[in-house]
Amino acid sequence: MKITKKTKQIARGVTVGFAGLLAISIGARSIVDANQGYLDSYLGHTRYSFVPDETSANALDLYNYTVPDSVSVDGKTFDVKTAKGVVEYSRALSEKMAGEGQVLMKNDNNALPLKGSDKKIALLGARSYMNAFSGSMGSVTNVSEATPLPQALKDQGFEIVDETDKAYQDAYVKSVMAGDTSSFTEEEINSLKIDKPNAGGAQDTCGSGFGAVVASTLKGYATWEPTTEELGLKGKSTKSGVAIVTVGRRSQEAGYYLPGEIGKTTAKGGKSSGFGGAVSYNPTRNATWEEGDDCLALNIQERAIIKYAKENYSKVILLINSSSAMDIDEVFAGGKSEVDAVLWTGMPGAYGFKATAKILDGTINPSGSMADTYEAKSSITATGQNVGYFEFANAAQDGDERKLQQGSEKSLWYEAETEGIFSGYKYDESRYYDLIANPSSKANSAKGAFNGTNWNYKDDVARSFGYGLSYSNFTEEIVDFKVDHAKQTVNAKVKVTNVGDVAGKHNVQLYVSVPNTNNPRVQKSAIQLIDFMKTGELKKGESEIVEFKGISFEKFASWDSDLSHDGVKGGYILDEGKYYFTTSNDQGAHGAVNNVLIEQGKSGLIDADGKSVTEKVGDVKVETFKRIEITKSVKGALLQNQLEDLDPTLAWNLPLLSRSDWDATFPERHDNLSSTAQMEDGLRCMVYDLNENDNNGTPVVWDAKNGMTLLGLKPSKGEFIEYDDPRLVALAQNVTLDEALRNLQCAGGSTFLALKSIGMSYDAYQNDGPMGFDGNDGDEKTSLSGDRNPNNTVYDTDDNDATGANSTELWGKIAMRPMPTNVVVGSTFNKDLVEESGECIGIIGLWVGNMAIWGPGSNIHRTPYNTRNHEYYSEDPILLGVMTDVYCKGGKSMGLTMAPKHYAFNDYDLNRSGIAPFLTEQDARENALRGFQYAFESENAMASMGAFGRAGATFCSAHTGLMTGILRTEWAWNGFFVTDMVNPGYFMNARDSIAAGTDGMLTGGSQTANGYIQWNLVPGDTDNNNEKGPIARSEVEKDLYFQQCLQNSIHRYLWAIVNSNYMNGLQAGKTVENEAWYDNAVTACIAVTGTLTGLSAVAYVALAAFGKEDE
Amino acid sequence: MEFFKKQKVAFYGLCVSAILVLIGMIMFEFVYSAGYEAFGQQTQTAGTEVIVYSIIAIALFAVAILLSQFSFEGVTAKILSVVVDLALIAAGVLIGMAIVSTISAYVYDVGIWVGSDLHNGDDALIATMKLGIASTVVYVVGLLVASVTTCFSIVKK
Repeated sequence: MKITKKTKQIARGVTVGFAGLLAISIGARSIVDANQGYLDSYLGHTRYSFVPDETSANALDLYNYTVPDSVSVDGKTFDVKTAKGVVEYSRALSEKMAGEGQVLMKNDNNALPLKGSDKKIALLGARSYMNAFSGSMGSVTNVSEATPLPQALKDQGFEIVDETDKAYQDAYVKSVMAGDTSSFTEEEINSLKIDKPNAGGAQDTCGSGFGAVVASTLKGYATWEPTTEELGLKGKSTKSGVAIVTVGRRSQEAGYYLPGEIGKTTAKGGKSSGFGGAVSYNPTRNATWEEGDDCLALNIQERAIIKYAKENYSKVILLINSSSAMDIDEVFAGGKSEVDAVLWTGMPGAYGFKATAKILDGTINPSGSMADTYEAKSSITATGQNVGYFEFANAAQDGDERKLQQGSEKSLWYEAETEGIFSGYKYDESRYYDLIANPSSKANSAKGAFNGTNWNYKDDVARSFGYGLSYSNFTEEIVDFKVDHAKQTVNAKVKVTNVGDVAGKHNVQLYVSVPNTNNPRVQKSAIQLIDFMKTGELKKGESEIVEFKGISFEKFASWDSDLSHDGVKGGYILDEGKYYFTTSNDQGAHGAVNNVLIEQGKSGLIDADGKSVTEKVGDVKVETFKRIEITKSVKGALLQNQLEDLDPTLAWNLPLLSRSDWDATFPERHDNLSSTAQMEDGLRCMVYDLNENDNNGTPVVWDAKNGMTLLGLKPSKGEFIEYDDPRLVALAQNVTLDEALRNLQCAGGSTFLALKSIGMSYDAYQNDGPMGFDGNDGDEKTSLSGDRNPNNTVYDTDDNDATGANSTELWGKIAMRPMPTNVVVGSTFNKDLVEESGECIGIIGLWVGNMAIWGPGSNIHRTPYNTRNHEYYSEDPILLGVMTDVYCKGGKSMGLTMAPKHYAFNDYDLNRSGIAPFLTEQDARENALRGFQYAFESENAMASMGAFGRAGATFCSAHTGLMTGILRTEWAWNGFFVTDMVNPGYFMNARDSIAAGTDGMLTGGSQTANGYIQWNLVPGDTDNNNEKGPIARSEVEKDLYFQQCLQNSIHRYLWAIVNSNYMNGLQAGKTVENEAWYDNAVTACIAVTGTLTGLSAVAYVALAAFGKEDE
Repeated sequence: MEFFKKQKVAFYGLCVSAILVLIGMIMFEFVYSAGYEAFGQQTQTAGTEVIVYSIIAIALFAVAILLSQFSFEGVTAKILSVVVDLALIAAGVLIGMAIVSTISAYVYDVGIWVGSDLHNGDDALIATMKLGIASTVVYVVGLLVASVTTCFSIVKK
C-alpha cells in the first residue's frame, strides 16, 4: 500500500484532536466527581440505596461497640456486662487512681506510714470531717457513694481518738444550734454525724457528715473552722501520739478566689457591680487571715489547730484537701507551722479517701507527683499581678455608661497576661536558674520576693511541679538516648531501680533545658517537661526500663512571632546551642534544673527545703542543635501567626516579662487599660456580616434526596468512617437547611437533635463531665439503668440473678460519676491508667446510652485562684495535653465521643462570660493550646466545647485565627465544636461563630417557637447591642459561604455520630451506589476518546515508522 | 517574504491556534484578576495552571514550526519529524488541560454552571463570568484549529 505524507499528517492531526478531547474527558471526570452531589440534586438522581441484612437473633450483632468480656484492676476481674460489675469496676479504678495520684510532699524521719500504735489518731481540722470530694456542677461526685475520710480511716483499721471526734461533732451541732433552732428537725440534727457520708449537697460536697441541712441552709459553714476553745480541747499533759490535720480550699465552677487583701474581705472583691452571671461565691466565709496573707494561705484558725497539734502530739501529719495550690510554705522545713509529713489528697472523688487511708498506713506506697507548683505566696508571683477584676477604663464614655461596648457589661472585662510563658514552675525554675547562672539578669530583685528584699528559692517556693516522695527510693539511669535530627524526634530509655525496701511505682519525668538567647519576643523556660512515664510496681531491687519514643521537637520548640517564611510570619524555632535532657527522680522540675546547673559546673544550689545540692538526682544528656525552624504543622499546614490581636504587648505596648532583666520587666498590675479601636468589632460582635457573601460561593446542596441515610453509613464492627468518605458528604447533603439551622441553635448540653431527613429518628444524648456523667442517683442521663438510646436493648436489661444481688434495679440507680478530680488524675503521671479511666467512662456511656461526654477539662492552671482548677489537669501543658489525649483515646475506643473543654483560655471563672484575655501568641501556643492540641491532632477527641470568654476582644468561638487558622487548618481537626452554654450575652452569637468554624450553639437542645431568631443566638437590638441584626432564613439563603459553613457543621456532626455508640442497635445492611447516566457518559467519553487517541496514535506511529513518503 | 512563501496551511493554522490560546489565556486571566472574592484558592491555582499550560502549548507550537524550517536527510530527518509531531500532540493535550482548568475554576469556586444559571443581580459578576466562558470557547476553537491544520504540512519541502 502506498502511504503518502498527507496520510501521515492526517493521522497526526487526528491524534492532536483526540488527545485534546481525551484530556478534556479526563478533566471532566474530576469535575463531575467533585460536584456529584449538586449534579445528583439537579438531575434528580438517587445515588444510594440501602439494602438491609436479615435480622440476626443476637442483638449484639447490631452493636458497633460492646463492653469488653471482662476487665480487671490490680488482678481483680469484673464482669462489666452486668450493672454490678460496672459499678464495682469504676469504684476500684477510681480508688486506684486516687492512690496513684495523691502526693507525698514531705515525710521527715519516715513519719509515714503509720503502723501499730500510730494508727490511733487524733483527727483535727474541720476539713478532716467536711471533706471536699470534688467540685460542683459537671464535676460533682456522687455523694451517696462517697466514703468520707473518718470512715475510710476506720475501715482501714485506724482508731480516731474519741476526744477530737466528739469535739468536732459537738462544736458543729452547737454552731448550728446557735442559729434558729426551730428551723431544724430532730432528724436533721441527727444527721450531723461525722461518720456518715454526706447525703445532700450536690452543690456542696464539702460536708461529709453534715448532711443536707448544711448544703441547703448553712452553706457558709462549709468552711467553718472552730477554734480549740470552741472545740473544748484543753490539751494533753504530755506530748504523745499522732495527729492528722486536714486543711483545704473549696472548688467550684463559676467561682473565684481573689489574690491579696481584697480576696478575704468581700464576696465581690470590693466591687458593687459588674460581676456577671452566677458569680457570687465567697470561699472565705467564717475564716480570718493575718495581715499579708490571703485566702490561699493558712487562716488564723487553721494555723491555731496545727499549733495545737504540734504542742500536744509527737507526730503531726497534714493532709491538703484542695485543688488550688495553697500558700503553705510554713508547713515545710523551718516554717512556723512545720509538720512531720504532708500528704496532698487533692479532691479524690467518692472513693479516694479509701486510698488516703491506705497510703497513711502504707498499704499503698505513694507514687503521685505534683501537677502544680506550691508557691510561698501566689499573689506576688509574676502571674499573680494580673489575676482578678479588670474593667476597661473607657467602659463609660460620652456620658453614656458603657456605650463603647454597646450596652453589655460582658464587654467590660479584660485580663492582660504579661507574664508571658512564665507561670507555675516555668517562672520559679527559670528565675532560680538565672539567680545561679545569670546574676546580671537581676533575678534576685525585690519584685515578687516573699521577704520583700530579694527573691530566693528557699523563701519563695514551697514545692515545685513534679515533686513527689515515696516510701521507697529509686534510681534513674538514661541507658539509651538518641536525638534524631532528621525526624526531629528525641528517643530515650530510662532504667529505674527500686533501691529502697518497699515495693512501689515510680514516675519518670523527662525534661529539657534549651539555650536562652535573650530574645525579648521569644522567651525560654530554663526547664520544661517533654514527656513522662510510670513504671509498674517494682519490688525491692527490681528494675524496669521505660521507653520514650519519638518525642517531637515541636514539644519544646518556641513560637517566634517574628519568624518569616513562605511569605508569612510566625513559626516554631529551636535556637542553635546545647540542649540538656535530664530526668528528675522524685524532685520534679526543681531537681531537673539542678541537674542541668550541676552539669554546667554551677554551685550554690539548693533543694526544695533549702538544703545544699551538689549531686544530680538523674542523668543529663547534652545534645548540640543547629538552628531549626518548624514552619509546617504536624498535619502539613503552613504555620503562621493567628493570634496577634491577643498580644498585650502589641495592643498597649506593655512590657513582657523577660529573663534578660527580671527587675525591669516584672509585670505590673494592668488595671487601667482602655479598649482600642481595633478591638471594637470584636467587642461589638461585628465579626461577620451575613450580607458579605451574598450569591458568592458554591451553591450548597440541601435536601438532596440522594438515598443515603444514617443507616446506610452504619459501620461494620471495628470500622471507622473517615471524615472525607463521599458517603458522609452525601449524607450531609440530604439534611435540609431548616434542620441545619435548628441544629446550629440547639446543639449540645444534653442533646443533639434528631435529623429526620436522613433517617436519624431519635436524639443523640450527651452529658456533662469530666468525672463521669453528671446527675443524681436514678437520673437516666447518668445511671446505668438509663435508657436514653432506644436501640440499647443489651445494656439495660434486668440482669437479676437468683439473689437479686446483681440486679440492674439495684446497681443501675447509682449516679455514675466515679472518677477523682482531674488534678488527682494528672498527678498519677500514669498514661495507661488514665486511658483506662477513659475506657471506663466509655463503658458507662454504653450502658447509659450517652454518645458523648463534655470532658475532660483541658484548660491550664495559670493561677491557683481559679476555683475551677479541679476540672483541669495541671499547670504544665505537656502533662495537660497528653492526659487529655489518652483519656479521650480510652473513651473513643468504647464509642464515646470525647469532648475536651473549654477551647480556649478559660483559665479563670471570674467574669468568664465575656472576659477578654490578652496574651502573647507564644504563651498561647506553648501553654494553653497544647492542652488541646494532641487530642485534636490525633482525633481521639471528636467533639469539643468552647469557652465562655473571648480570645482578645472577640468571642473565642468566633475568633477566626483560633478556630479557622489553628483548629481547623493547622490541626486539621474535623470534630464537632459547640460553644459553652449560651447565656444572655450577645457576644456569643451564631453568625460570627459559625462563620469562624464553630458548629453549634450550646443552648441545651431545646427549640423555641421563635424560629431562627432566638435571643440566645442573636438578640434583638433593643439595647443597640447588635448592629448586624438578627439571623433570618432569607439572609442565610443568599449567603452561600454561611450555608457552606452550616453544611460543614452538619458534616462534622454526622462524622461524630456515625463513629459513636449511637449506631449501636441500628439495623445493619449494605449501601449500594447507583451510578448516574452522566457518570457513564463521562466514562464513555474517556473510553471513546482514549480509544480513538490510541488508534490514531498507533496509526501515526505505524505510518511514521513504516510508511514510504511520497515527494 | 521568502519565509512566508515557504510556509503552508499548518503554519498559518498553528499561528492562529497559538493566538487563540493566547487570547483565551488573557481573557481567563482577566477573569481571575477581576478580584472577585469568591474566586478562592482553587481558582488561583487554576489561574496559574492555565498560564502554564497555555505558554507551554504555544512554545511547543513554536518549536514545531521552527524545527519544520530545516531540511535534513535520513535518520535526522526522521527524528526531527517525530519531535515535531510529538510537540504538536503534546500541545493539543495541554490545550485540553487548559480548557479543563478554566471550567473547573468556575465550577469549583464561583459555583456557576457554565452556560446556565448565572445567578442574578450582579452585573459585574455576570459580565466577568461571560468573559470566563468566552475564554473557554476560545480555547476550544484553538484546539479545533490546531487539530484540523495539523493534518496539513507546515512548510513546503
